[in-house]
Amino acid sequence: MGDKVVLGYWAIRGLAQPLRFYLEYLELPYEDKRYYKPEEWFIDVSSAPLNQHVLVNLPYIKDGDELVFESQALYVYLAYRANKPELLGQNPKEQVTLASVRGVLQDLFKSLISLFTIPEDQYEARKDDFFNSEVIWIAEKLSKFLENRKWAVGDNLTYIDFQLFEAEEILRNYKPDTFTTLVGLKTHNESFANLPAIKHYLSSDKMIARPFYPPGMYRWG
Amino acid sequence: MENKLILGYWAIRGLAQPIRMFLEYLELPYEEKRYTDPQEWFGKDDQTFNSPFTNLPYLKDGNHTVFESDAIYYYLAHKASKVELLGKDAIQQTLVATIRGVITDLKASFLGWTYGNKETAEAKKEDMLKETGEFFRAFNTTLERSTWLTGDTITYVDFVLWEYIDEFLVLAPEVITSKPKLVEFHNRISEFPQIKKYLENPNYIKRPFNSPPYAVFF
Repeated sequence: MGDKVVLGYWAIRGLAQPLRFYLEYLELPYEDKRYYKPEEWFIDVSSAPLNQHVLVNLPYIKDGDELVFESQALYVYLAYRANKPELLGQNPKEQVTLASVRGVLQDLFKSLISLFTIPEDQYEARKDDFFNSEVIWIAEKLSKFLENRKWAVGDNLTYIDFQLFEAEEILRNYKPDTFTTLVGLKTHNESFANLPAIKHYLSSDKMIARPFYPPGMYRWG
Repeated sequence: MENKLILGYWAIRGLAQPIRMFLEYLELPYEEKRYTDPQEWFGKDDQTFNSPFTNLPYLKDGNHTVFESDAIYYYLAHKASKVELLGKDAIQQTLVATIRGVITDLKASFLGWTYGNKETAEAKKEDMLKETGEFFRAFNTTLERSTWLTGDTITYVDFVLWEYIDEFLVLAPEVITSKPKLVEFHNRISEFPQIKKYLENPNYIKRPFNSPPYAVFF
């Protein structure tokens, strides 16, 4: 099983971007398969082997004959594949903390999606109120939690730090002034961006800077 | 001096019900703090916790409190020394995360409708049942291929799905009864001695599933 793993996803940041950072960090040889048009995905999903899998979806990891779906599962799979299970949490305390942070972070991502899918004719009028009432308090919770912590679960990096970074990048790009006040998130963001593998990837031509979300379907991205 | 675990949540089934089932299955001694009045929680008990993640449900174990429902399953499995319930190896742990992800999508579709606009709820019900039906169909097929959702041994995500199956058996039974493996799976868990006993306990909440002032179905 020395072949490259294949990460399949749309040609946007979305759910795959933290996984791209993860693959770079893990130093796993991989192919970043990007679907630029729905038709390309339709062809793949309606042929073998993808059409034999009942939970088929994007993103996916193809590893030889192995196919894994659901973004959260890909972090688990890849940690074992790269022989770095410590990225899942090294002990019960880290695993429980990881799950707590993941729960809150998922609420933040959900809120951001709700913000950016406000109907077009209401978006400009509602966006600031929505951000202030539905998004910022979750970001503040995470920011407070991260103050005085090196990484999400403490001293050790885990896969949730990769997802946190992506949330930080969305906030930093969407509301740069507000982001600078979220001290915990800002510090985490800077530390993560300075990890050698991440720093290298951020300045490489493989890096997708934008969009975060599918253009045309979302009000911002 | 062993402190009992305390599970805190609203006096509904909601996110806590599968946790209650899990506690019963693990045979861990526990108490519940059920909040019937929002003012018992907001501005009162929620101020007694020193965490930015303070929320319901919570699991209090002496001086330590765990927030976020998913984290509570992890905590309890370790507490009961039954870590296999989180996935016994790399393959099963990956599948636990896979199934959890799909359940999250089912939850988003269903709860988006349940706690959504009350005026349009009836009109949107059929679409919601169609969408959630697709997820249930995927789970049914999964159970045709393995004994439990993630393989040949039970994990905590089986309890999480059981609750949605039980709820749909009330809301729209045909969505479930048309899928024999889901029916069999539901019965299988119901027949566990600890669960069978719990289902008949007067403490067991049959209804409401969801929060009456806010939900279109409870």
